[in-house]
Amino acid sequence: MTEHQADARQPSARDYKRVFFELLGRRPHLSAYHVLTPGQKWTLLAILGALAAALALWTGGTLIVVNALLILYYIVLCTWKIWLIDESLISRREIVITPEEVAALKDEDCPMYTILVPLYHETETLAHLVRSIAGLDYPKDKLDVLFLLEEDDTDTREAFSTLKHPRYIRGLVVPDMQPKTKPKACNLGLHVARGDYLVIYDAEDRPEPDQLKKAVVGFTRVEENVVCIQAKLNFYNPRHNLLTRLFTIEYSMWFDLFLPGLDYLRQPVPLGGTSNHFQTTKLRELCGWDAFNVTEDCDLGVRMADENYQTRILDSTTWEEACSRPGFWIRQRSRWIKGYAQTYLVHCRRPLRMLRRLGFWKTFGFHMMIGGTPICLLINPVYWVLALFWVVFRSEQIAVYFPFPIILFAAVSLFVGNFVFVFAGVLAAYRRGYYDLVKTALLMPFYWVMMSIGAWKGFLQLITRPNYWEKTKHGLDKVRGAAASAERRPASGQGTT
Amino acid sequence: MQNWFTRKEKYVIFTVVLLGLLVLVFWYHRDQVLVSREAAVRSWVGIDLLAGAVKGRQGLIGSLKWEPLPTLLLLPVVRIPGLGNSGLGAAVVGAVISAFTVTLLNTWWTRFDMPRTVRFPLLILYQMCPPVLAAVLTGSSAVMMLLLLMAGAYFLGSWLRTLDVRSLAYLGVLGGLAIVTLYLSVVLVVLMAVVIVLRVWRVRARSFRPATLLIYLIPCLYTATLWFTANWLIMGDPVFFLRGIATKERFLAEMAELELDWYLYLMPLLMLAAAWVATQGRRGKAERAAWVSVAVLLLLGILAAPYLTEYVMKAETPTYFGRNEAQLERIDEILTYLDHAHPEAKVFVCGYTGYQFIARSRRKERFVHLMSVDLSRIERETRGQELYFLVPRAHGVTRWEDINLRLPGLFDDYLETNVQSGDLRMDFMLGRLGEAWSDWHLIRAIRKDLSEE
Repeated sequence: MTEHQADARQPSARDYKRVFFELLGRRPHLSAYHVLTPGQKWTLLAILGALAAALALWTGGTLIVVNALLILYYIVLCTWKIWLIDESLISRREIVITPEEVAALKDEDCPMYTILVPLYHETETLAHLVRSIAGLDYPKDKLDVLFLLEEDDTDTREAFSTLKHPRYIRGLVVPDMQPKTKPKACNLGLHVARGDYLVIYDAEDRPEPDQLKKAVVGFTRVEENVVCIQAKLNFYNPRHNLLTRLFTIEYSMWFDLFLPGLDYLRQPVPLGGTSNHFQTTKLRELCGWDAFNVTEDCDLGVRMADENYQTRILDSTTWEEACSRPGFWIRQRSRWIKGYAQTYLVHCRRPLRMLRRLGFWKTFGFHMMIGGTPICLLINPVYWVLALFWVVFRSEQIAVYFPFPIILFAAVSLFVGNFVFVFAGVLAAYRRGYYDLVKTALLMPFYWVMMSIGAWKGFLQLITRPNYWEKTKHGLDKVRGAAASAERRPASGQGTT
Repeated sequence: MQNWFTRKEKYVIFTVVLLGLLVLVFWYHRDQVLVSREAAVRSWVGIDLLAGAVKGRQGLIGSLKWEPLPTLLLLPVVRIPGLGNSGLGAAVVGAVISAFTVTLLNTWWTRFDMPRTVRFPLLILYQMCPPVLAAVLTGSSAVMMLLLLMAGAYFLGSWLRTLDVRSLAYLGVLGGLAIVTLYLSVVLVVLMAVVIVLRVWRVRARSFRPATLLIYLIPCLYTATLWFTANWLIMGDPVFFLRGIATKERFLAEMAELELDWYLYLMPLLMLAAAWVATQGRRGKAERAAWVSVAVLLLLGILAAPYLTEYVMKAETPTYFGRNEAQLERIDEILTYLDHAHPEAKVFVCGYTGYQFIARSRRKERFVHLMSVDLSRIERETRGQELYFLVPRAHGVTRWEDINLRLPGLFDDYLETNVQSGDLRMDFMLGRLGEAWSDWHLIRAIRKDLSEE
């Protein structure tokens, strides 16, 4: 079947909007179509107004109070992350499927599996992608692979039409319509999907061949309310340059320490962009993805928790390409932070409802993980500059805003907090078996500077272009990518428990 | 009930031990507070910290001489009336820390399938062990060090067996914390690094050995670097905290003041050996039980030794309890003298050891503690009053008393008696009265303007 062949379930032109924006139509309060609701705008204005008034009337005191609150937030966040890391190291709640269990799964018992691959300007990675999917250890007659091609991306569409590809791969053209986001394309894919299960892969992804089978076995083993299994993500080009090294360490922290920790504590799991395996019917019940949210995966993870569904982590890795150029990296990061901020704002629209539905601990975890990520990255530079000034210039003007015991907590936050996050990187690299990257993890503070730059870019974009999708450029590391399989494997050895 | 107890065992043990220790602490100090000098000093450093009395960057840690961690742990209790200003808070915090240690030991011994009927008596034996109990009752920071060492032994044992990253990471963090609990721990940290290198020597995976060593060393190096930096920022000398042990005499004096009980620090290592013995049985239930029994006997021996020295060999070995009493009696004697001879005088006490006078005194308001002898402040605040300075004599580790002191001569046995300050001259008279004063100078300050009238 080629891209021009319409599927039986492909919507008519007038239904596209309904398919793309189902969440907005049925549950508008959960869509990021509006960054802020009128209620949020008024609340925000009231807070800012009160803050401005307090600053005008009582400058010193207000700054001390704000400072104290922020430092307290840092300490709570740091403690939370330590807890997550410890839980992930102490226990392996992630789903581990042995090769024997995979081998025991017969082809006839394999359910239909849909793979969605959203593509935009991906001519360079297309051939690789087809090979990668062909390499999956799954009965091909049970595969339903949908390449989601954008109508205005003629290059990729032409490349796909000329490419020799197996019959189980179909092309699906996504009409040119704003916003041009990945979730919008995925919603179309979900509409026509034939699989019992569905997974998303990005163009440059190299999932481990047995990942689909592991997910199938995994679904049979977990509780009924588990509707999504998230595979781990990591990079096949970790040693390309310093940036990819640090990026790899960060990814290892996220997928090997933080997400398993969240999984263990049964917290809302912000899904990774790809390799999330869903029960298709449940995903449809959830109205698919929010086409206006630029981290639709994170948002979906929270919505699933909101519906009392669970996400579990699968011990299987999809290898991606780490962005190796600072400019592209910052663009990608700005989108992520913007998306986290969108998600945070969307789910904070009805805080009491969230508290009622999620309960205290999950709500707390949501504020820490989804809110804490952008907030910390935005505030960090302020405190770095203050700390630097205080140390270098012995500035009393700064010291005045840190009276005792605030100075003590600030010191704990500075010295313990920074250590914890650097050390987490060290542990993540070690646990992944990237022993040579352990020393690189000590350079993480420089990486945080880039993260903050990305965060500020994303924050400003949230105001100016909230639904704009900063496309991640793939294929920058083609040469290395070809030799990826040799490089991506962590060093084998002991001690990686 | 049984299941409930199994699930909640660690919480039950912690609570029971804590309550028991608190009862003991308050019973022990029922007539008068008998905490160590260290406890009194740390409590008052904490009080000054919370009051914002320590100015500048030193305000972050209060003291460079006294390792910061045990002092910081006292901060939550030093403002509580009756606990903070007497030093009793240190014993209370010691009880909490010791309860953690007992809980940890229980977790550790549970791993060897040791039945409760054996485990619980051993835990009681450990907690009531004279050096352990004495450290708790006197508010010594050795209790904290003991927790770190026990936890270190626990994680070291676990890591040696499994090479798991969590145990290694905790081992590193504990090493880092040990450095800021007792400076001498740096020796232990280095020894541990050697053990780690030896254990992974044969693992050939690329970069595995340096990575493993780094995981362990990073927290230790980070803590040490922070401490060097703190010394540099506060005193302009990154190794200021080591100056005191620059010579053999000073090192010995430092050791004497620390009152280190070597057996206390040897105990975790011996327990690690017992743990190793307990894991030797691999071939069946009977063999496992036999090895665990040997380990239990070893533990009994380790824990029984101090009982033997404390209660049987009384004549040959000093007691663990009441070691501070002679020193406390001398301080009480000085306080009694001051109350009788100079009841209305304002007394300035100096240096860290000066804190002990405030902690022991019933009339705390008559004492003013000075880390820095600020004469203009003294003039300002004491016009027309009878003034005395109580300063430690310059021997042993008194170089610490020089922190921020503008008048190091005050600590000299042959001090110059004339001090000029602004338009006023203050003449100091040296007073020596009996045995109690062997460690102290009482100096009377006479205003030049008053003496001329």
